[in-house]
Amino acid sequence: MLTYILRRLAGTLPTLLGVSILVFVIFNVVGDDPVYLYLGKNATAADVESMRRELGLDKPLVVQYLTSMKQLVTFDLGFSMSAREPISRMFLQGVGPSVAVTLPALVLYSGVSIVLGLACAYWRGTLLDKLIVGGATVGMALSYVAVMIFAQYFLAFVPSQHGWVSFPISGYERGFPDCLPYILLPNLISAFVALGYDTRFFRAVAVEEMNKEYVRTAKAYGAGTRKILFKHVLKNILIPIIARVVVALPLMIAGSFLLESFFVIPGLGYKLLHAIDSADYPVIRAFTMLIALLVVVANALADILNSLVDPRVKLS
Amino acid sequence: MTGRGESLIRKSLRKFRRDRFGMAGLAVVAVFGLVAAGVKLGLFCTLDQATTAVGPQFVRPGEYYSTIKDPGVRARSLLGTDIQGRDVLTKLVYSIKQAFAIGLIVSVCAVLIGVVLGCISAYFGGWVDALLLWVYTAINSVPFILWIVSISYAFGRGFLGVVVALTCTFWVGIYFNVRAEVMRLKEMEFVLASESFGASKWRIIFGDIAPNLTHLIFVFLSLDFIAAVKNEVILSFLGLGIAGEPSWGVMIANARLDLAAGKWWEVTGATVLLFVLVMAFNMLTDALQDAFDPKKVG
Repeated sequence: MLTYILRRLAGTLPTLLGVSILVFVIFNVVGDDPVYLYLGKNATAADVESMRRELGLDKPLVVQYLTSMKQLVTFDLGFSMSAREPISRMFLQGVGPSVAVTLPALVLYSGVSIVLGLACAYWRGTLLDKLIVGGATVGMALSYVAVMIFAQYFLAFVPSQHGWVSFPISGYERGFPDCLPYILLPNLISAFVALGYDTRFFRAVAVEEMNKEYVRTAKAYGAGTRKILFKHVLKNILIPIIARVVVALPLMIAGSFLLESFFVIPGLGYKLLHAIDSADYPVIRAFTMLIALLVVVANALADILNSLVDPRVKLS
Repeated sequence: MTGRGESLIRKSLRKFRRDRFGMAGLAVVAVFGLVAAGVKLGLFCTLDQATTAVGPQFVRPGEYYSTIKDPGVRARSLLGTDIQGRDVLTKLVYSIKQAFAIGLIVSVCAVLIGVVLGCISAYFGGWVDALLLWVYTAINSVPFILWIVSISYAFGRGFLGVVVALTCTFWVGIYFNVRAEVMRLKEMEFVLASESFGASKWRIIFGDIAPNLTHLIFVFLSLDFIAAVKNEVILSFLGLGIAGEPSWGVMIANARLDLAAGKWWEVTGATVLLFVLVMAFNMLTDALQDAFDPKKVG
């Protein structure tokens, strides 16, 4: 087991190397000169020169790459250009709000969509199945941005105009009970958008499982609906479920970018977009790299989790 | 009852034609496509018309207003005007062309790159395969939004940045599927036969193997088209999208403040059109998947 875990974690190293090279190429080779972007048109040659030296951009590309790798490994990421704040602190402060707007939604919609998917598979071909699938298909076609705008308008803006109890329109407060009202609506939106995709996915997985012989046998023995679904089928579809939750992670991150910028929540996405707006190059590069790192490690952890759930995984 | 010797494609096409949802989706996509072509050819709703004010700002849908060209003339606005007095309907129709431009360019480029690299990767194997697979893994293990945002940032805001960013990330999806499929196909008898006739490698790849990838190509063209259109909206919303020309994304992003002031028509119009197009494409994709997957065609 331990060797498998170590091997899987070691397997992420080439991937991380690839990601870091791509990020470096995008920002240092393809991208516009960050110094010009930041200083604007009226910069003097001396300003540009001193800033280039400060950022280490006057050195050869290989040296620049190695320096950025060293910064990443030691988590000493330097300072933001606009806020003059250590980037590592900015990042750590952004993690909390980002998790708060994504994790509850992930749990919520995964649970709901698994139940809906199982229900569809069990009552396949009935009106219930058709309604759920139809609803999911419609849900998949909705634009994330539009859902967000209209949800804020109808659930936060309109009720507050009438003086009813409502969600706050935007904003965020740190600390556990204080942040709750602010993260409710973003989580609901995020769960709603993902629900359609996942319901259809879990339905397909469950339908395949329901056609297997052990389900027929269980039915023949007179096992009840609930027992078949939640005791036998659910256990057997755990692997696709775990895989799916991991696949959903990037989608959640994309969503948190939108939600954070729209609801003004100071998470990772909000800070990254703010950095893009102010051409804060060190922040953009460090954040991209760190978020990528988190996702790659999360993928590896999911594989390890899968091997704990199903010993067959290790063999392949 | 299928006739003897009927090709896989013909069978698939027949199955596809019987799929009511798929045909409905195709019909809607075709209508949008015709409108997009009309705008592109300059028949109606030109860029000029879409960016010029016709009357006062925020005329409500269905209301009459005095036109700017001739203040004596009263015109009826179908879908209202925006904050600069531009006709919302014209902007919406012009944006159909934008959506198709982005969708077509991105999906065709991404599929082309994915298919060519996937074939090369699977057929040649060795270090070429290892290298391409490594790049694939690196791109695929990071949320696409991160690549899209950083590439469009690096390329500068605007149409080109959006297209390059989306193409650079979308090719990996079809690449991996094509690679797996070609791995399977290259062991089959018909490839062996071609090899023993002395056909060149490129002839085998693009003459013998590639035609068997039709189903993947169709499905991914459809998937990537719609992903590109949806991502344009996201990028515009984040301020990294198309600049200077109307598009659904720009309209939704700009009009979100109008909604709070009760000016609902612009954001609603763009949302509804986007929804209809995506819905039609999703139905089309489902039908294509059902009809063209060789495992499902009897």
